[in-house]
Amino acid sequence: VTLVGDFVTGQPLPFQRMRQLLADSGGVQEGVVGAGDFLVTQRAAGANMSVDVAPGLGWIRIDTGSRNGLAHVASDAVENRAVAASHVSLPRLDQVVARYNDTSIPTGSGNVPTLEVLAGTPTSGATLDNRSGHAALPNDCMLVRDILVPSGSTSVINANMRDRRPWARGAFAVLTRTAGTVSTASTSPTVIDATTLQARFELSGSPARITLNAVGWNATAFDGVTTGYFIDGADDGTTAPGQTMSSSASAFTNAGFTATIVPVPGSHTLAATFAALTGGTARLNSATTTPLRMIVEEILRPNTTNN
Amino acid sequence: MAQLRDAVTSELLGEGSPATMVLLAEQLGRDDVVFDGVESEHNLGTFDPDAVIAAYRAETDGLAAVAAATTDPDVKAEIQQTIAAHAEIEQLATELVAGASEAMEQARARVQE
Repeated sequence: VTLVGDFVTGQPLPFQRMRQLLADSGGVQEGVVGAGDFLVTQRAAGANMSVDVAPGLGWIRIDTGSRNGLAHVASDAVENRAVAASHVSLPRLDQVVARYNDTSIPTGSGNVPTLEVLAGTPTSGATLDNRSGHAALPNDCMLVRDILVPSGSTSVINANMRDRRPWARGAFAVLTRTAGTVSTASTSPTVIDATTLQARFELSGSPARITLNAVGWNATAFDGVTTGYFIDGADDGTTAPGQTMSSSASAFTNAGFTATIVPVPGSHTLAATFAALTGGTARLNSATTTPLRMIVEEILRPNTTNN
Repeated sequence: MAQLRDAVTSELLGEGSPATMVLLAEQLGRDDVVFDGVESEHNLGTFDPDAVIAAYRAETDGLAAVAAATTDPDVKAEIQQTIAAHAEIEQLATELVAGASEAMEQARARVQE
C-alpha cells in the first residue's frame, strides 16, 4: 500500500502509524517536554562516578526503519547511572542517552525505554566543545547530556557536563536585564551582559528567531548604538540588525531587532551584542520599566516555499 | 560560561568570562591549557584569545577616554562603574591562579601515579 488513510473502517492502524500521526500532528520534535525533564546532574548523595537522571517526559525520534514517528517516553523517578572509570592518561567524552526500545522495530532489547551512558574513546585534548572521541549516537536514542571525564578523575561533577536536551516543543527563553545602563566605547560588537543576556541553547536545526527589546539612550547627540547577536562567540555574518541614532541629546530611541537564523543542529551559545556607531559611547537603557530583553524561540515548521 | 582546562588531563581549572579565562591562561601558560565553553563543535577555531584580550583592553582604554572627555557627571559615573567592573576581571583572574595551578598539579600527579 502506498497511500493510506488512518481511522478508516476495516483498515489496521498499527503502533507505528499512531506514532507517526503524533509526530505529524505538528508542534513537536524529538526532545524533552518540561524544563527539568531528564535533566542529568552529579550524584545528589555525593559526587562519584555516576550521575542522576531526573524523571520526566519526552519524545524520541525512531530512526530505525522509516515513518516510525516519535515515541513518547516517561520516567517517574530519579534514576542513577554509572559512568565508566576514567582513563589513566587521556580524557574522555561520554554521553547520557534515553533509548526507545521496541522489539517489533527492533532496536535494543525488550520493550522498556532505557537510560544509558555511552562511553567515548579516550582522546587527548577532548573538551565539551570539541567532543573529540565521542561515540556515534545509535538509532532511537535521544542525547540528553555530555560528560567530560578528565583523565584520572574519580567523580563526575556538574562543571564537567553540558546539557544536551533538545526541546520537544522548541527551545524558548526570555532573558532579561533590569538594572543599570550598559555602555561601550567599542565600534566592534560586544556582548551586552554575559550573565543575563547570554545563554546556551540546544537547537534542532529548525529556524530560530532572536529578538532584542532595547532602548538606546543618547546622552549626547549622535552617540548612536547598533545591536546584534553572537552565535558561539562570533557574528554569523548578519551584523547589526538593530541600529539607532538621534541628533538630540538625552533622547531615547528603539534599538531592538528581530532576526531569524537557521542554525546547525547542536548546542549553541547565543548572546545579545551592542557597539558604538561613532567614536562616542553606545548606551542601552536597562531598568525595571525598560528592561533589556532577549527572546529566543525555535520555530517548528518546515523552512521552505511552494514550487 | 567560559572554562579553562588542563591540556593534558582536561581537568577543570577555572570558569568565568572569556576575558578572565584568557588572563588566567596567560598566567598559567597558554600551552598548558585549553579553552572550553567558548565555541561549538560546529565552528571550531573561531575563538581567538588574542582578539578577546585585545578587545577587552581597547574597550577599557576607550571607556577611560570617554570618561575623561565627558562633562556629564552621570555619564562619567556610569562609565567609571563599567571601568571598575573591568578591573574586577583582572583581579578575579589573579585570584584564580593559585587554585588553578594546584588543580593542574594534582591532576597531573594523579595521572602519573
